[in-house]
Amino acid sequence: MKKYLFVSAMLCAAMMSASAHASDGTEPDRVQRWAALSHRIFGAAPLSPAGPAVTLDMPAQADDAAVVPLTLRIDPAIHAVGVDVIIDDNPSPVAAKIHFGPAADPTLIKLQVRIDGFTNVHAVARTADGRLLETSRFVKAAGGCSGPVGLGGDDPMLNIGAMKMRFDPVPQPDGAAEATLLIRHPNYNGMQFDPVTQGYKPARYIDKTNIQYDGRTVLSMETDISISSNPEISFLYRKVKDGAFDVRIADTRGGSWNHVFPADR
Amino acid sequence: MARVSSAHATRRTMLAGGLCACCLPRAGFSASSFRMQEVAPGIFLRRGLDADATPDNADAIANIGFIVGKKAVLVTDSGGSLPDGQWLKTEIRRVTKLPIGYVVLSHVHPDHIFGACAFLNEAPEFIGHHKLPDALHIRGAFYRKKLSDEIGAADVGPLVTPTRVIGPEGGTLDLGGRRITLRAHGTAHTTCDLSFLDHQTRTLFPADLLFVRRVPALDGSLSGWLKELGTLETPDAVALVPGHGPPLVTPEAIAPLRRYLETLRDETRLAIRNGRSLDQAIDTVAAGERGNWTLFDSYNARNVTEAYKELEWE
Ligand SMILES: [Zn+2]
Repeated sequence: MKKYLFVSAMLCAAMMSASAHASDGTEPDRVQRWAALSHRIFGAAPLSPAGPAVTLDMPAQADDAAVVPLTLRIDPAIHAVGVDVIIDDNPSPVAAKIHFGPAADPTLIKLQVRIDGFTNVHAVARTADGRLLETSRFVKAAGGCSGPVGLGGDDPMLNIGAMKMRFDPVPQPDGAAEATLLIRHPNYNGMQFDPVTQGYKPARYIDKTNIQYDGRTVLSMETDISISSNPEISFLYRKVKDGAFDVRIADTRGGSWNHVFPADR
Repeated sequence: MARVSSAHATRRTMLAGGLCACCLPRAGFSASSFRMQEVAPGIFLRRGLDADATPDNADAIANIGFIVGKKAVLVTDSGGSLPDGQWLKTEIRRVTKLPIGYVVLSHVHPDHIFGACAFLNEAPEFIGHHKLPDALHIRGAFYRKKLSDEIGAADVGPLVTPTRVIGPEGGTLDLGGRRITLRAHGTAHTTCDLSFLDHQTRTLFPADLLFVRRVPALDGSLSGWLKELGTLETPDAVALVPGHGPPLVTPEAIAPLRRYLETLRDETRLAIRNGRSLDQAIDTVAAGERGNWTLFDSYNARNVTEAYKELEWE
């Protein structure tokens, strides 16, 4: 317990410096920060601009910093094997590492993230032939990380691990179908105050998600504290007769959950 | 001039002693632009500005005021900053020398509670919803920092927590021949909305459970708010004091808020059913309400986000 509180305090300090950096930062600062950050994440491998092959849509001004919608579109022609989402000035910048499986259609991915301060958000697609293609967006938001998980009207731990799969009734122009996975989980990032213990809630967040359809992997994902509480992810798939979804998630405190969703009509 | 410099000296002394700068007059915030009105016998109200917090307005954006009984004064909400609360205290002292027995903290939002520190030296009972202490623990420090960034740290005093909480069973106060009953609502605008009724004038103080003309901000539960809205329509009340908007309204003023919240609910449900994602919902839901509310563009998107995250689990 002590250790967790210590970690939380560290995160807080990190976050304060990060947000101070973010709001005071100038564009050259951001370029420099990304250079260091991308080197840390991808090593010496060169990044090249994605152009229209990868696009990232986010509101320029986030209305709710704790729930900022993010839409990724990846041209299937580049044969992406995965994509990483990095929020440069968040306390732990790598928000999600997504790996596409054999049943994936990378054309469309939607997530909801927390954003602390003014920051660049990067998406880096990894291709089958080893290229790294980057694109970015500048987003203005404040307090998404230290922002509370609700006001505690309902116990955020209630129904932890519950899931729901929602299907878009309208197919994509090319016939693909869109599904959204909703998960009940507070995704505590170690920065939310706990009125009961008078300390910070120990970090507890979903770090692994695996989505299978008809026995084949659509995507697997490693996530960090930048994902919103009660997270959701939207993705495309190709319907097959009687295809069912099998979803497995795990969190950083040993919680794991498995749900099977029957075929969408 | 002499007064000004002595005030400065006092302030410095108090700060050196580790005390807050509460209760000291301050020059920057132009209180002369505000007017205290006696809207009903013994009920004095100041209309808040339809704006967000800035250094110029010192977060004086909520409707605040006081009720005078035969023995004590009740502060209906204390204001959004130290100078806002100080201004309110000055106005009270122009009307009465009676002790300020009660200061209501209507809910957790900064524009309603950061004036409370101006009343600390009067040692009133600070009255709040039984869930307000938790909400202040969760958000207080965050709000204090945010408000300091918005209006300047010198205008932000310490956070005041309730000295008396009202549970689901409600509560009663006596201002001396003037009875006030309090009600702790279920999660609605926030998790900790407190309303009260002045029986003498049959005036209900719902604070931010009622927004008039200024776009409402949803920070609790949409379905809960619609439910609690029903409790405001009571034969006990002939007039209401909204948290924002005109200081005194009749019960008909509830209808536009209900319409907005129902529109938000119905259009968000429809967007979810039609497979619209959150960002698409933000662009379309309740757009027809834009012309009816001030500050619509500053809050509607956030309201849609809250509504979407609540309703998609239905
Ligand atoms: Zn409010």
